[in-house]
Amino acid sequence: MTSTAAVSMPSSEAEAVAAVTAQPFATVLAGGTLLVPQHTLGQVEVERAVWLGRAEMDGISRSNGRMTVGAAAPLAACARLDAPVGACAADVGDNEVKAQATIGGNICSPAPYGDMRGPLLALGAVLRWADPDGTHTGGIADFAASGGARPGVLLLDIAFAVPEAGSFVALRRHHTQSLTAMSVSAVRGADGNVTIAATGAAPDACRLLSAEAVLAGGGSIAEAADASVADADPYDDVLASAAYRRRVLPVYVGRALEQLGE
Amino acid sequence: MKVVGARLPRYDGVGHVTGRTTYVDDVRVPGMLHAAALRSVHHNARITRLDTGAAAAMAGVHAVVTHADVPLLVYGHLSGAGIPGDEPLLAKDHVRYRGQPIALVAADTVDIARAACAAIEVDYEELPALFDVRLGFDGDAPVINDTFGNWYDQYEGNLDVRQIRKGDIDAAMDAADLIVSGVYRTQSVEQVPLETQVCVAIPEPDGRLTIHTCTQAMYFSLGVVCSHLQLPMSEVKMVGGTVGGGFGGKVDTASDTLTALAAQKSGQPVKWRWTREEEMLASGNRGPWHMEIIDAVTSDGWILGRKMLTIHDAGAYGRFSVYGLTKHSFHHTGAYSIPNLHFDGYVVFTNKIPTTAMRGYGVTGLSTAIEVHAERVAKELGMDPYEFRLKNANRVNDTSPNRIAYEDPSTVEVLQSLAAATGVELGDGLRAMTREQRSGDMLPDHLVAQIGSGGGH
Amino acid sequence: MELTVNSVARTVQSPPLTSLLTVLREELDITSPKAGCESGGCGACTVLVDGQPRRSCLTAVCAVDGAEVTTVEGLGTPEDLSRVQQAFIHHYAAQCGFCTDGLIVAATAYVGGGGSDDTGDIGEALAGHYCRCTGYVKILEAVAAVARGDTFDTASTASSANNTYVTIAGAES
Repeated sequence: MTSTAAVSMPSSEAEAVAAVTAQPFATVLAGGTLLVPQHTLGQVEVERAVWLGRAEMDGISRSNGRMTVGAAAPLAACARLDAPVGACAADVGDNEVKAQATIGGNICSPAPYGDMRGPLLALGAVLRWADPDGTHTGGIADFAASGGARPGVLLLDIAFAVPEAGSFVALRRHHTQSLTAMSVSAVRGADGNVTIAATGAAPDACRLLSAEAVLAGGGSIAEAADASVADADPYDDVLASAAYRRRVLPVYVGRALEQLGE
Repeated sequence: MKVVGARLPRYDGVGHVTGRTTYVDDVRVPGMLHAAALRSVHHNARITRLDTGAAAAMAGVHAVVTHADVPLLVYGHLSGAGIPGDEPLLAKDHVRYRGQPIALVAADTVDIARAACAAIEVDYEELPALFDVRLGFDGDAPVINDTFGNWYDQYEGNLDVRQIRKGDIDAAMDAADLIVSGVYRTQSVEQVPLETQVCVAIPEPDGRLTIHTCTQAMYFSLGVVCSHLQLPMSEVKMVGGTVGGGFGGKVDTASDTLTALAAQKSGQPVKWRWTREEEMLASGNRGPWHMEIIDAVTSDGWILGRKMLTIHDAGAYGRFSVYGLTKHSFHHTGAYSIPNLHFDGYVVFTNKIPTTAMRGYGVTGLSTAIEVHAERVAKELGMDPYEFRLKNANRVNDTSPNRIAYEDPSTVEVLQSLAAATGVELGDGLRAMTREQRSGDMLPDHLVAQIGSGGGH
Repeated sequence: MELTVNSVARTVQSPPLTSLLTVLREELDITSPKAGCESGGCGACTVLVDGQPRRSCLTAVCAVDGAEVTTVEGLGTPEDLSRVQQAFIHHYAAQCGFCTDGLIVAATAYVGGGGSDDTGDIGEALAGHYCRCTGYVKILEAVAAVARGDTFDTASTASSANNTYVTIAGAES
C-alpha cells in the first residue's frame, strides 16, 4: 500500500493524548499487528496515524498491591505476569506477534480478537483512557459503554489489584496463529471472593456471575461450573458452534476453579 | 549405483538458504505494471451489466481485461482427452462461484489497480445457489453448469456415470454372511502453498510473450495459455521451475493466461500476485467426496464384493474432475482384492470453487473411507483388523478394479511394518505372509477367477 | 527514514505506514522476505530487527526508523554460509524454499539466544512459521543440530533419525 498517511511519533503520554484527540482524529498505531496488514491490503484508509512506540506508555509497575500496565506494553512483557493476565497474554499469537502486539491494542480489538478482556474483567481492572473531553477511568464494561475504541480515544493504562490467586484456561489452539475459541479466567481476591470471566461464551467477554454466586454460597466447583451456563450466550462462528460452546463452558470453568485451588 | 542410496546434496540448497533463489514475485522488470482482479461477490448470479468505462479512464490504469478480450474464452483442461470445456476464463454473463474472476486491471500500482476494480460497475441478478452435492440430483435444484447440467454426462458410451462392473455383485451379496455399509464424506481442503499464485508477463519487442510462471505443470500451462490466446507455442516463452509450493493447486494457474492478456493489452510487463485471501477464496482446492460403501463379507473375513456409490463435488466447473473420478474408480478397492464390484460415480456441480488436484487426486479421501470401513467390518466380524486386512491384501497377480494385474503390491509389507512400528504382535502366519501370488489358504474359490496373468508391462 | 539493512545504511523514501516487508522488497529490492500472507500468519517475511525476529509485514517502517534490520542475505553468502544455513542444506530442511528465509532468520535468533536442542523448545520458538512441504521434522533436526554444535557437510545430506527403513521381503530380485 502506498498511501501517504502521515505518522506522528509522540515522545510522552501527554503528547500522545494531544495527537490522538486533536481534530481531525488520527488512527492509533500501537503494535501494528492488525492495522499494518489491513493498510497494506487496502482494507482501511488512514489519513494520519499516531505511533505509540516512543510515547513511553509500555511500562509495567507494581505498587501497594496494584499492578499498572501501560496500554502499549507488548503481550510478551504481559506474558511474564501471573495468571490470569500472564497466561492469557502467552496464549495470543506466536513469539513474534507477542513481541509486537500490545495489551491496549488487544483490548481495543473487536471479538474474536481481544482475549485480554477476559482476565481483565475477572480482575475488575480499571482502565484509564483519554478523549477530547479529558481523562476517564472505568472497568472494561464502562470503557465499552463509553463507546470503546473509536477515533479520538486513546487507552492509556490498565490497573488491577494483584489477586491472591489467579487461573486461566483456554481451549487449545490448533495452531499458534489460531484464535482462541473459549477461555475462562478466575481470580480469588484478598477478600477471598472468587470472580470468573469467560471469552467465547458470549459474543464478547462476560462475567460468570451465577457461578460466582454458587461459590459464594458455599457450593462446589461442579455446581458452580454447571451454573455458569446461565451466564453464557453461546453463538456460532468459524471457531466453534453454539452447542459446543455451551457444552464445554462448564468443563473449563471447572478446570479454572480447580487450578485456582477452590 | 552412484545415486541410489547416496546422500546427495540439494542442488538448489545454497540458493534457498541464502535468499538467492528467484521466485516469480522476485522477478524485477523495468516499467512493470501491477494487476488486481474483480471477482464475483455472489455464489450464483447473472451479470446483467458490466461497465469498465470509469475504471479504464482512471489515471494510472493501463488495461482492463474482460471476457471480450479473450480470443478463446472457454477452453477445457481435459480437451486433449476429448472432454468439452465448460469454464470461461473470465465470467461473461453468469458467475457460478464466489471469487470467480470477472475482470483484471493492470495499473501503475496495486492500489490503483484495486481502486479501478472497485470502480468497475457490475449489476447482478442473484440466483439460488447449490452447496450440498446430494441436492444436485433433485428435480428442482438450480442448474449449475450450462454445458453438462448438474452432473457430468459425457462418459464413454453416452453414460452420465462412471461405472465399473467386475464379477457378479448380486451373487456376492447373496453369498455373504454379513453385509456392512457405511457413508463417508470428506471435506474440501485448500493446498495453501506459501507462495500464492503469481505471474509476470512481458510483451517482447518481437511480439512474443515471456511468462514467468509458478505453474507445477509447465507444458500443460503453455498449452492452456496458447489455447486461450490462440497463439502458436512458438510465440510464448514460459519461464518456471521455481515454485513456492503447489501440492496440486498450481496445476491450473489461470493467473498465467490472465496476466498475459493484460500484458498484451497494455503493451507493458505486468505482475499479478494473488493475496492470501484470494488464494483461499478462489484457487482450486481438493474437492469434497461423498462415498457410500456396501461390502459383502464372509464370517471368516473375506470380502466377496463391494458396491459403491461416489458423488464427487466438483465445484462450479469440470476442470480435472472427470479424471479425478476415473482415478478414484480404479482405486476404489484400495489396497485390497475384491473380486465382485459394482461402482457408480458421479461428478456433480455446486456453486463452489472449481476443485482440482491435491496430493493423491481422487484417492486420498477414498483411502480414508476404505480404511475406516475396513476397521468397521473387522469390528463387526469380531476379527483382528490386521488379520482382516492382510487376508484381503493385494498380492502379485491379483487384479485391480480396472483389471490390471498387480506386479509389486506392497500392502502386506506395509501392514507388517505398521504393526512392528506400533508394537502390534502379529501371529506367525501373518508375519510370514508375503506379497507372492496367492495359493493354498490364501486362495479361496472366490478369488481364483480374478487372478491376472501378470508378466510385466 | 534511515535503516541499516544487512550492515548497509539505507535511506527509505516510502511513506511511514508502509510495511517493512514492502520497503525491503519493493523499495530496497531485498527479496528474501516473502509475502506469504501479508497478515502475520505464515512467518515467511520474518527478519531480525535489532537482533530480534519480527514479522516485517506487521511492522510499519516508521516503527523501525534507525534500527538494524537483518535478512537472510545478511546472515551468510554462498561462499560463507552461516551454521544455520549449512544445517538447513545438510539436513534437507528446505524443500520449495519459500518459508526457508523466515525460518533461518528465526532459527538464527533462537540459537543465538542460547536455545537448546530440545525439539519442543525449538518448535515453540518457530511456531509462527508455516512450512507446507517438509512436515517440520527436518527443520527441527537442523536447528537442533546447530544448537548441539554439530558440524555440517553441505556436500551431502544427513540421515534422519526419523526415517524408518523397511526391508521388503521378496523384493531383492
